[in-house]
Amino acid sequence: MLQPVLDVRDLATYFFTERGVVRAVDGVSFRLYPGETLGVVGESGCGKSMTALSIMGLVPRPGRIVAGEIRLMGEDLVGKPDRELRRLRGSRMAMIFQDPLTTLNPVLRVGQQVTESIRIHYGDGTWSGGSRRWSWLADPLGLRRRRIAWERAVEMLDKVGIPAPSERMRAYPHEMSGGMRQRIMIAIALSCSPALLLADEPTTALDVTIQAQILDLMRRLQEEMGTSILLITHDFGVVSELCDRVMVMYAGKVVETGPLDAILNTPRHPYTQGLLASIPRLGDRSYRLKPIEGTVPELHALPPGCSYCTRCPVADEYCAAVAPQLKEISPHHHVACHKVAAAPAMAGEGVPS
Amino acid sequence: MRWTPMAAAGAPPEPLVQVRGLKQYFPLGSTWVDRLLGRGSRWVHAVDGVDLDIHHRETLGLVGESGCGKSTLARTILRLYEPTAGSIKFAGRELTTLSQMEMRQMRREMQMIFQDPFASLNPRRTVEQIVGLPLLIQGVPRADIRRRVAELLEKVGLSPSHIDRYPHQFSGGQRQRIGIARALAVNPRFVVADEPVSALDVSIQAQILRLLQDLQAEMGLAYLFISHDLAVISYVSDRIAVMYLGRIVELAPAETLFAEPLHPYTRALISAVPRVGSRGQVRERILLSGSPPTPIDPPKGCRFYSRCFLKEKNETCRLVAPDLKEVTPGHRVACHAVAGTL
Repeated sequence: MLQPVLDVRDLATYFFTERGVVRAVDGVSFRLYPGETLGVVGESGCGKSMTALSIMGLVPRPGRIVAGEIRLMGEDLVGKPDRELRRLRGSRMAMIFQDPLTTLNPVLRVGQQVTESIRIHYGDGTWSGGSRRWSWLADPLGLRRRRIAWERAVEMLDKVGIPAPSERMRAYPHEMSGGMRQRIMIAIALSCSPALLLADEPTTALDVTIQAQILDLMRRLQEEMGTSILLITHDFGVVSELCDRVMVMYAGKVVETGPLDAILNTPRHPYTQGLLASIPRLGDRSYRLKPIEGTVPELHALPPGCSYCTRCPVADEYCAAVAPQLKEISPHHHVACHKVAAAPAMAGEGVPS
Repeated sequence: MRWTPMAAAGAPPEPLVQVRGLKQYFPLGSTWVDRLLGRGSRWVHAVDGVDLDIHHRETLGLVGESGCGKSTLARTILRLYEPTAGSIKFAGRELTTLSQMEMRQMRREMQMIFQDPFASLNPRRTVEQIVGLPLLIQGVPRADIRRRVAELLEKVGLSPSHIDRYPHQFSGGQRQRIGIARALAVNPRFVVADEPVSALDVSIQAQILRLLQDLQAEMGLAYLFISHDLAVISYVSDRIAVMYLGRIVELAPAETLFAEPLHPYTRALISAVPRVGSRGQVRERILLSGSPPTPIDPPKGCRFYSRCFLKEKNETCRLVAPDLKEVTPGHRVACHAVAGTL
C-alpha cells in the first residue's frame, strides 16, 4: 500500500469569537498520495483555505485546531511546537497564495526572497540539496551556503520560466508583472523540493492567458518533481485542468469527494450538482443557468443537521435534524447526503466493496 | 427557450449608442528629468480609437484582460471621463458637446453597475438613501421616493422591509442587488455593467446573471456588459467585442465568435479558458508568451504584434495598425493576416 504524503483525519479548526464558536473546518478527513493533485472546491467561507492554513500551522487567532490529526509523511503536525513546524515549512511543505503582489515583500529584492528558504534549510537535513550537514567550521562565513542558495535560486527561476534569471534576481517585485510574480512565488515554494505544495487560488488574480501559462507550469513542474498538490479553488475549470481527485466543501465539511470524472459527470450531492449548474458554459447560450437559491448560512449558527438543508431542493425534516456522514457510493466516490445514500447506485457504476 | 431581446423588439436601424473614433489618453506627469532631456509628457493610451454600436435591448459583451481599457471605455462612453477625441452619440444625440447640466439630464437614460459591491455603496447611508439618491437628483418628490425604492427592492429580489438597513447588513450578492436597484431607479434605457459578478461566488453569480437577464426582458434595457470571464460573457451577450490594449480587435455575434474566432488574440483567449471536463481532451491550445505591452506610448502597428504567433506576421503588422474590417456580415476583425491586407 502506497503511503500517503498527507493524511488528515477529523480535522477541526474552530474560531472562538465574541459572536460564538465558528466551525471553520469541522471534521475534515482526506489523504493525498505522492504525485497526486487533489482539488478542494467550494464557495468563500466553506473552510477550504482554513484547511490549508491548518496544515501549515498558520491558523490566525482567535482560531485554533481543536481536534484531529495531520500526518505529513507519517509525522503528526498537530500540537507540534512552532520551532519544529518551521523546520518543515518550506522544505517538506510549502504554500502559494492568491495574490502574488501582497505575498512578496516589496522592499526586498527577488533574489533575497527566493534564497531565503534555501539558506534556512541548507544543511538542516530537510533539503536533499544540502544533505551534508552544514557546520560553521567548514564554512565559517556561510559563503558556501550563500553561493549554493544563490545557484539553486537561479536554477529555480529558470525552471519557472523567468527570462534572464540571474539578472532578475536583483529586481524588485514591483518591476514584474502579476504572472511573473506568481512564477516567483512558485519558485520560492518549490526551491527546497517539498513533498507537498498547498496552492490557495494560485491563478484567481491572473488574466486568462496568464492563468493558462501558470497552470501549464504547475503541471510541468509536478511531473518533473513529483510534488503532491492540494489545489484550493472555486473554479471547476481549473480543477478539471489539473486535478486527479476533487473534494467539495460546504460550511466547513466535506460534502462530496471522488475522482475528477465522477465529480464532474455524475455528481451526487445536491450542492455539487447546484454548483456545476451555476457555471456558464463557454460559447453555449441554449440554456438558462440554474442558480442555487439563498446564501451560505452564518457559520456560527449552523443548523443541527445537514448544513446545506437551508438551500437544498430535496431536503426534509430528517436532513435538518441529523447531520449526514460521508458514505462510499461507488469506488472512491463518497457523498454526505441522506437522499443519495438511500438511492440505489446508478447503472454501470461499480458496487462499493 | 432562450430569451432573445433582439427578436422580441425588432431592433430599429439607428443604434442606441454610437461610438466613433473614441480616444481616451491620460497624461503621465513629466518629471524634471524628462524636461531636461527635452522629452514631451508621456500618455497612457487607455482607449485608442474605438468604434462601437450598441443597439436597443441588446447586450454587447466587452471582454479583455486587465489593463486593456475596457472599464475606461465604458466610463468614457458615460462621459465620466472627458474623451480626448471622438464622438459618442446616444439615441442620435452627441454627448461630447453637452454641458454638465445637459449631461446630468442624459444620465437618466444611462446608468452603471459596479464590480465591487462593498466599495460601491456608501456604508453610512441606508438602502433608502442609496437607491433613492438618483431619484432625488432627478427631482422626484421626497414623498414618492420611499414607495419607489420599496418597489425597486422587490424588483431585484430583496425584501422591501430591508429598506432601512445599512450595506454591511447584507451579503455580497444582496449588495450587488442594491447596486442594480440604484442603477434602475431612474428607468434607464442603457446600463453599463462593469464586472458585475466578478466579486461573487459561483452560485450567487448565477443568481445575479439571471436577474440581469430578467430585468432586461422586462424593462427593455441595453447592456454594455464588461467581464474578463469569457464563459460569463458568452452566456449573457448577443454580440461580443474583444479588446486588446485600447483597441477592439474582434467584434462578432456571440455564437460566431466562439464557433469561428478569427483574430489570433481571440483564438488564444478562448483556448486559454480552463474548461470543465476538459482534462485529457484534445483541443487546440495556444499558450501566449509574455504579457501585454504597456499602454504608455504603445507600439505603432498592430498592438498584438509582440505576442502574435501567426506565421504570416511581417513588417506590415509591426508598422501599420490594422483597421476593424468586416470579413463576414456582422463579424469584424482587426488583423492584416485575416483581412488579407498584408
